[in-house]
Amino acid sequence: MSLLEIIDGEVTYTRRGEPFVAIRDVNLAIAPGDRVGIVGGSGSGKTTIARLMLGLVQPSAGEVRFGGRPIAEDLSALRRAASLVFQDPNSSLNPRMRVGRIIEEPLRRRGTPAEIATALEEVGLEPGMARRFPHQLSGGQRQRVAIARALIADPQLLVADEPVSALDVLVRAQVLRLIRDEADTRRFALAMISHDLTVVRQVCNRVVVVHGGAIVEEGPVGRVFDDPQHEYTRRLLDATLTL
Amino acid sequence: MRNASLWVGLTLIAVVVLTAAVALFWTPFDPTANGPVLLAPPGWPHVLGTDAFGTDVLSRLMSGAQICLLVGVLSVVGAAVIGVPVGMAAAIFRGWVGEILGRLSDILYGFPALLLAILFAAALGGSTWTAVMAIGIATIPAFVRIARAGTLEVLSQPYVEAAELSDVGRTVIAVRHVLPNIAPMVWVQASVSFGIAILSEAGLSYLGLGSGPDNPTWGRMLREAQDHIFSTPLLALWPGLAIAIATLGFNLLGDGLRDVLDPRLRERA
Repeated sequence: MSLLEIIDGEVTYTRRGEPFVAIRDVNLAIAPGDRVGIVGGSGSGKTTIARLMLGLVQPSAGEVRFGGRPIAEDLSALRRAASLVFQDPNSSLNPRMRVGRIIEEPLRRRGTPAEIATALEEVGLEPGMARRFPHQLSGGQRQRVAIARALIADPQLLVADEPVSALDVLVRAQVLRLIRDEADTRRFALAMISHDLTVVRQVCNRVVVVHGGAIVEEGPVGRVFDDPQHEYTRRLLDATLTL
Repeated sequence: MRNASLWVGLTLIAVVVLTAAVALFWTPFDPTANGPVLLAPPGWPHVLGTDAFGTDVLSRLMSGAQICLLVGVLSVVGAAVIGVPVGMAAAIFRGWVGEILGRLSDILYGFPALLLAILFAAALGGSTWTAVMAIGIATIPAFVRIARAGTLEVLSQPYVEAAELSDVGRTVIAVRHVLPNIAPMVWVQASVSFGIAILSEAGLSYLGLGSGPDNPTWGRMLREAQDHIFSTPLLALWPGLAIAIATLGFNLLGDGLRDVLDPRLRERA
């Protein structure tokens, strides 16, 4: 059975008074342990899909189910089992909270020093960092803190929205490897949003290509990369190769 | 000096606070007793001279510092304690509750604070407590506005979304995420409001709507000096200087606090 399922999902925003369809007819199922890459260009609707999964936007049509139940029925259940890694660690960490307080938040209680130390060590940070403020860390360290926060409550689903695109090129590989290793050991389902196909190729086993608010192609990573069916996927792949 | 305005502000405020504290126990003369020498120039034993009733100016000035601080602290703290939660609520509870709170505060804000204070004082009769209440109520909208604007900005930050995804609840978000991030703005507003409150109190006393004649306030001293402005101009200088020092002190403190309270502006580790 699917862990998370979007059925005929449609999201409409109001832009300058006009309704604007961000995504339509999106059908996507994520099984436990699945690693799905959601790729597409700017404005393709990939971030909207991520936000729809977590109940951060309401569908204008269709529905989202978690564990077989519509998420609208029990949003808390979804949020205790799923977490999000944001694109920009600068704005996703409260500048006035120390790292220790930030990462314990999903526990909804005070974390013990041992829990916080373990969580930090797991993402490759020293336990002493718990006393620091976000501005005292580098960009890569901040994103590690964000990942530690996302993992501390042991989620069944991790949604990562462009987790490395705000980072230095040199630390991207480290952070991606961290996410992949965590997915290997903890066996959570991963939905990774990215505009970068190589990122998805390194981490995911399945890829969904989004274009103009709709899913245009879907399949195992190997098949989609070696034998793209849709014109847009081919263009994305060509763009990656010519770089 | 890394933060000059903070230290200068604190020094000026310390002078006012110390003066008020000393005046609790000792003033050179009785600040309310009339004396035989009227309008004496600065000298000995009346260091800053005497006023039209023969009262020692220095003693009145020292005693006035108490009322100035009392009115300033009570009105600003009261306004912040009411205004900040209302402003946060106006931003957090979207829909008609927030809309009504926001509009009410805008209407109150559009009304000149001193005029509002005069209205209250005129309706309730002049006394120190009327001044505190009038200035306090007139100051509330400033805090509502700043708290509401600050809260709206904080709520749009991804770290608040992260907290929502952690399912921590609105109260936790308000206390843990919103309040610490709007605190610097509130402090700055408080110190600016404090300066305005001191001026307003002086204004109300000047108009005879603040503290009674038994309480020598700086504003009342200014008004009394007005009658002798050409013969004894120094009489107006002293309370004017005192008001300027207290107001400037709190404004500088506000400036300095904004920098000190922001961990991003502290030294990097």
